[in-house]
Amino acid sequence: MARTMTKRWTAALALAGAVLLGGCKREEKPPEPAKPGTAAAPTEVTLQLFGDPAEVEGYRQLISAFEAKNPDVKVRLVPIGKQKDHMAKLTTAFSGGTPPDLFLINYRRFAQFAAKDVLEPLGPRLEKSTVLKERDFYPQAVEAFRYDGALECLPQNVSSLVVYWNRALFQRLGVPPPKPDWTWDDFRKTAQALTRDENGDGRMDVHGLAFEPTLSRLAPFIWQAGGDIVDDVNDPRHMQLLNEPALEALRFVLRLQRVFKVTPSLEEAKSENHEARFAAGRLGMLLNSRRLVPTLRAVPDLDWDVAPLPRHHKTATVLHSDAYCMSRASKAKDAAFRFVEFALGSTGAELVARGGRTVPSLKRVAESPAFLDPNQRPASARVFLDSILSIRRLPNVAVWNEVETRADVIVEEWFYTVPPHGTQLTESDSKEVRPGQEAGGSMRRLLRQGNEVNALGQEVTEAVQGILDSAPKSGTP
Amino acid sequence: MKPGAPRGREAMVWLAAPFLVAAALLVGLPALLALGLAFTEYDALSAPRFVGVDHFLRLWDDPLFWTALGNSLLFAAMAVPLRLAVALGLALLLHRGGRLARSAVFLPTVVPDIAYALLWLWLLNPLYGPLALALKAVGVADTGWLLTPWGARGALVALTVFQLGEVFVVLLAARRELPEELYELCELEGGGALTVFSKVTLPLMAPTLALLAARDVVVSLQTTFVPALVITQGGPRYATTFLPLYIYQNGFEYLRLGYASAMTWVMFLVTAAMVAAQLWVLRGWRASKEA
Amino acid sequence: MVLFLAPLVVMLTGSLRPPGLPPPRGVELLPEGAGLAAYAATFELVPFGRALLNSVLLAAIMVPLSVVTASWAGLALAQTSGWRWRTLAGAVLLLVMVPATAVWLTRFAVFKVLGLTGTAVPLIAPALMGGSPLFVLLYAVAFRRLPQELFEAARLEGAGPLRLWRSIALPLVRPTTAAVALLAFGLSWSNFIDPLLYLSGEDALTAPLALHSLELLGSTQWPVLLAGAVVVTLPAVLAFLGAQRMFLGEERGSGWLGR
Repeated sequence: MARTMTKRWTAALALAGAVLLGGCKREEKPPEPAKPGTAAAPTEVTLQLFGDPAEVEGYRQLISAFEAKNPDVKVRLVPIGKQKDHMAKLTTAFSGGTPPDLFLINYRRFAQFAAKDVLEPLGPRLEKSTVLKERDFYPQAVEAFRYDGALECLPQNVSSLVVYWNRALFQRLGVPPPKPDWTWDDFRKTAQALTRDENGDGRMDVHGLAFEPTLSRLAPFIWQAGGDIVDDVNDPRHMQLLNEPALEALRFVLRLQRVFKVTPSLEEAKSENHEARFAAGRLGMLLNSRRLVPTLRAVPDLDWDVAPLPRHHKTATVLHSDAYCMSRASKAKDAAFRFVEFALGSTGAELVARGGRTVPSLKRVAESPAFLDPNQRPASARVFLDSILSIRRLPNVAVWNEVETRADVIVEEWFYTVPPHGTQLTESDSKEVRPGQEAGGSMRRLLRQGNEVNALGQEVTEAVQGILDSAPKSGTP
Repeated sequence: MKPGAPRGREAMVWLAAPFLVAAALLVGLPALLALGLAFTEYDALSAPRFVGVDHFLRLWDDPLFWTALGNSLLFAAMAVPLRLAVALGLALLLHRGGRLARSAVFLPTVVPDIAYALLWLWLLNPLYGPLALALKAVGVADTGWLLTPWGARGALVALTVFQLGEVFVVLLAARRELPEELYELCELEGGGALTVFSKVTLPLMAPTLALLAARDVVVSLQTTFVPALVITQGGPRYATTFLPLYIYQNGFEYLRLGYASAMTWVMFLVTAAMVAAQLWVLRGWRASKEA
Repeated sequence: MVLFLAPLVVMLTGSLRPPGLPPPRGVELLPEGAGLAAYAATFELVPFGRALLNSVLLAAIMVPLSVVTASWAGLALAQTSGWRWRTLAGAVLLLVMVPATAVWLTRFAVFKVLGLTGTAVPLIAPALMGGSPLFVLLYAVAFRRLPQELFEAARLEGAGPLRLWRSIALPLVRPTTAAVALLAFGLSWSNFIDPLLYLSGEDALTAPLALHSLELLGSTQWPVLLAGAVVVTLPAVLAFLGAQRMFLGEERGSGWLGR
């Protein structure tokens, strides 16, 4: 009795194991020889990317369209919910020896893989391609994916930071819409006019403006003031956040937060994310890249549009671009590149552009109705194309991802922490705020000394200098 | 595996073979590898390169490492006594009768980590979470403390206190083991509840408590990972960056496996020291009792 | 007791709120328009069905495997003496003291060398060492309490270790087996970090990972997230309620240490 039980148990186990392993294992089937009379088993190409459900849906459509035309290739999508997990998953997959054949990644993050020499450079394949030519792409995006001179990945989009604004809310509150060439002052006044406590409970019900307090969001403001983030975008060795132009931008951003109080407080920001606040009609303006479009289109009855970032001494915005990268370890490089050609070519780029996710990297598609469709929001889609003229980018060196990760923690604390004796900033900008004399010390000590603006530059510099120093010396062949 | 009366018992050791082999492969080998890798630069993509004690020197200068180590120790110092005290209290309260209540106490423990973390993320939402709303209803308007470093640390301690099922059940069993006669005797002599607790319950349960404390210190290094990853993401300002999270970030996000291995060994040594200290205290305490 | 149940109740009521509404402004016991819309959304957004199936299959392998190896090791620990016992007990204690987080990295490296990353093997392998050293200890304690004579008598009849385990030891410690099975189920069901490290792709999701990928939805979609959390939690709670009689029993003499 016991023995038969055991036997049955073992059998059940083995069966369950077989099913499970079949389900979890990737690409375990050996390439089957083509049976006579039937087509060979399709080549499998895995594609890993991150995005919310609305974005991922767009990629699913792209894949079905590709598979319809290429029955011999099957694309397996590996969608990841969060940017951070996407990165962790990629690093573990590379170190585990099972990287996806293709993945989409931002230019600020691809270099750590390029530096480890695990990417298959796509430049040579592009040169041989009959479908795509390098000159068809926006050079600003292509240039961002060069590493040590070689084109590693092919850009899928050329997005930039813009102002999403809620048209219905602007109309209801009688606030004039953003003008094309607006200044910091116009921007600030608009945000102030939108910030309302409508039921008088002491808490703002509508906020004029919101953005994530991160280095990449601060960058365009610093550039607009004539400053810089780093000394050399191609070989960053030092942060430049303590120069006067940068400080002017930081003062402006900080005054928005704690003098004019047009942005959600820390508490409010942590309770509800900016996108949800915007979708619910309780936020006038939101800074983001193109990737918000599919999500906002999916919100019923939301009347919104986009406007360019305001200018100060200069006009500037920051490049947000993702590219298809291929793993050197891929066993299906040709099939994978065919997918890249399809996805970036006219048909694929139009499909994704219609879905709203991208500002196509292919010029002819970006200028086509697929992107500029007047029947789809945002009505002012051309803002994205006009912004390309004043686009600048952040460094794309291998250590940059870590620099940003470190810096963003500090930016957030800096943005939300008011000095113990209240802010020294006032409604009119003044350089009276003392520049920091010494490096070092905790944020709190710096704040006690009244260095609420400089605190950012000092802390960030201190935190990331070691990381920048650890980067290999460039210029060596 | 020859059966035989006296040697038969010893032959039973073969039953432990799968366990020992698996343990050697899954824990022993990795631990030794970690010791080796700690002296190399290794990114899992190219071959390891020997760097001597560089990583340990770098650890010495890495403020985030010290923050993470401090956070882990602080967490253990706050969570372990609290968990034990609450579990002991509940075990004494519920050791007779009340299976329903016991089930209720155990229930949060069976909730999977990730669901539990998400649940608390919702509970602790500073404006719309049930906790904030309940506090507002009783007149506490300011719920911003949840976003302070100590608020976040406190919240993480609180959520692990709810998951004390295993400790609770062991203490329950230990209490059941205590001879009822002793309690009756103590009652006859007119000892109050406090006397009974300090003269009978505590001394008799101390060894169990000490072992549980040692185990809980080790466990606390694991239980913090998922909540720190999901709820606080190590923040605000690294206040909840615990050693496992920092090791994960270095190893799996930046592929510094050698550096992360060095940290792993420091973590292991610190744990071992804490456990040894506890057992040593227990032994001293026992010796003094017997003397 | 109410305090301990409160979070779970909140999770349940929160999951019944219709998704897409503005966040609540006051305490609500049962949300207005309560319904299962959030659950439908949960299954729509993430292939939860597949994930649950994978998790069930994992548990179906890991629980019996853990019980077998843990009880074997426990029996060995209970029966041996001398250096064998010292070695075994030392190994178990050492394992108790090693935080799981300490061997992540290099265990990953080991599986990489074996070419097993991307398969389910790394997830199942811990079951070969009994799931957790704690389980081995539980069994050892339970077996120690069995009268030696039973084993000696069987040995005289020529029973080997496996026979002793199957026909004498195991049937006498049913409550311990229930407890270990429950705990092993919990371990495999809630395992989050291993699937995160070793598996990829939608068809290789496990229930905790599926919940994790729901997370991006953000705070307006809290009902959906909470619904996902309920879906992931429910099987664990049911398993517990099924087994709790066995080890939270009333009377002295029952209980998970097999008395």
